[in-house]
Amino acid sequence: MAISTQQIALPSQFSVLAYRDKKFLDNPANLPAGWTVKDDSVSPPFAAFAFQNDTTGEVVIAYRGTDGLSDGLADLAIASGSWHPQFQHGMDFVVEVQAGRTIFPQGTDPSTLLVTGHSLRGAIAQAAAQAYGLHGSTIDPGAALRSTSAASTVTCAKRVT
Amino acid sequence: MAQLKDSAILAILRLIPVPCVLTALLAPAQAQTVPEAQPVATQAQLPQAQQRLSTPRNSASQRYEVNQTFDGQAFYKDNNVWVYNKEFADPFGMPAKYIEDMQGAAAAAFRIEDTSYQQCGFGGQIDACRKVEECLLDLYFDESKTPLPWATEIKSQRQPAYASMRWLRPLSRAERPHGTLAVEPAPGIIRNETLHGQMIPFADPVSKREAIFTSNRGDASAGPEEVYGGSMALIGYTRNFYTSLSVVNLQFGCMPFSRKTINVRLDAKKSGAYEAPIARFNRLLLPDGFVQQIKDLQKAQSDKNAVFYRSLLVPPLGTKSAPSALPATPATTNQ
Repeated sequence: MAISTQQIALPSQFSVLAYRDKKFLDNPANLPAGWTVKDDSVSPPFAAFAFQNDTTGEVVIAYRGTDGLSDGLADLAIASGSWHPQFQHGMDFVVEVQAGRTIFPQGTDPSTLLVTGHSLRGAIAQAAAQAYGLHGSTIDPGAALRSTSAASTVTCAKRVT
Repeated sequence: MAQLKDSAILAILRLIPVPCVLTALLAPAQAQTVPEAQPVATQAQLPQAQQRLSTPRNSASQRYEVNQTFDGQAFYKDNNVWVYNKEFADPFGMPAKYIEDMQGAAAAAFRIEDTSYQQCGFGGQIDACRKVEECLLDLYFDESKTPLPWATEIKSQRQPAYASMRWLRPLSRAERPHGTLAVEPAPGIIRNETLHGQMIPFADPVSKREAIFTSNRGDASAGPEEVYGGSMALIGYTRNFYTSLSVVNLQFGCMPFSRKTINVRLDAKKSGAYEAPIARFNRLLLPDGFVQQIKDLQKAQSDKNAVFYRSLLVPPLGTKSAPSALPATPATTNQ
């Protein structure tokens, strides 16, 4: 499936925004126009947010990248191609968002759900994309690239932070 | 032959004084040494059976502890974890061990419910399926103490966890933006601008804005007043379910809770779950013993799912297996 530059760019914006604290994200003025935060999972060191376009219904799940020493074990696990509980957190968050009846009142529509992440959690985004067959884009996503092969997940090898 | 035997017994009985007959009938078990036909219940089970017959039972959990105690018969086992105050426990015969000092509510019950449909196509495999589960929380409010801000005359509503209607979607999302199962609010009540409440029984009586349930179930390091985990979808309610008790049914994803205690609030908000409320209504605290039970259930579910997810990745993360070591069909059904 062909993915437009816009489709890559938008999730990438959210993967950068995912580094901001929740209070910043709670203010829609800090987000792309028409988008609001609908769900979050902040359980340090893990953090992920679900943003929704209130006109189109499109949802982007953005995983925050490495943001401290406490992510070291997860980084090591990904570098060595092994499993880490943060992968499970990432998968659980997809389930949580999909189950949200106030987000998807008619049931989940996978075509409107995208995943994204930078660095460590770019790898988690890839794992989620691989498992669920979701579209999205990741930025400089760590070594999970070799562990996953979701055709629809685009990797931008460019550092943005 | 049987008739002759019966006649003989009757003749003997006529010779026995009446008090002796009554004594014999009232104490049959001890008097029999080798019964001709063994009853299903053994001698040891008889006291249990006699107790069962003398204890009031019904199938509606009117007396919870009686109905939830195994006495040799098959019974429906409750899969909720509970917490409640003493006033709630007494009329329903609930076990004393789950009585806690509930703040803001009379009782709460949590369960992970199987929606009965599956999610398939994981890892690009059409038959790689897992059952879909939902976390559900029932909150019981004693409205003589903690009234709810009702904005409907309808006594009870419930959105089914599963109905064939779920799969029937209009061509344009704009036609039914809140979904085909959504119930429109009462006249004058204003929806939260960006959430898709399926039913709107609560609202601020002044601003008329919909009131929604939120919690701080996420970040344990954040302040207790922060909203984490988005809104908790209201999927049903029954007003005055029993005397002044009303119950609301909330649904949310099953991300494991990270706090020791969770507070749940009912607030009117103009837009979304995270902005400051226009008006605050009910607040309740789920105590740590109850939250720990929820965490245990969520962890068990998450661990079960982890096995499934790991089998999907190529190569499975954590195994470093060569692709040839994978099963021919990695598609597994997570039952």
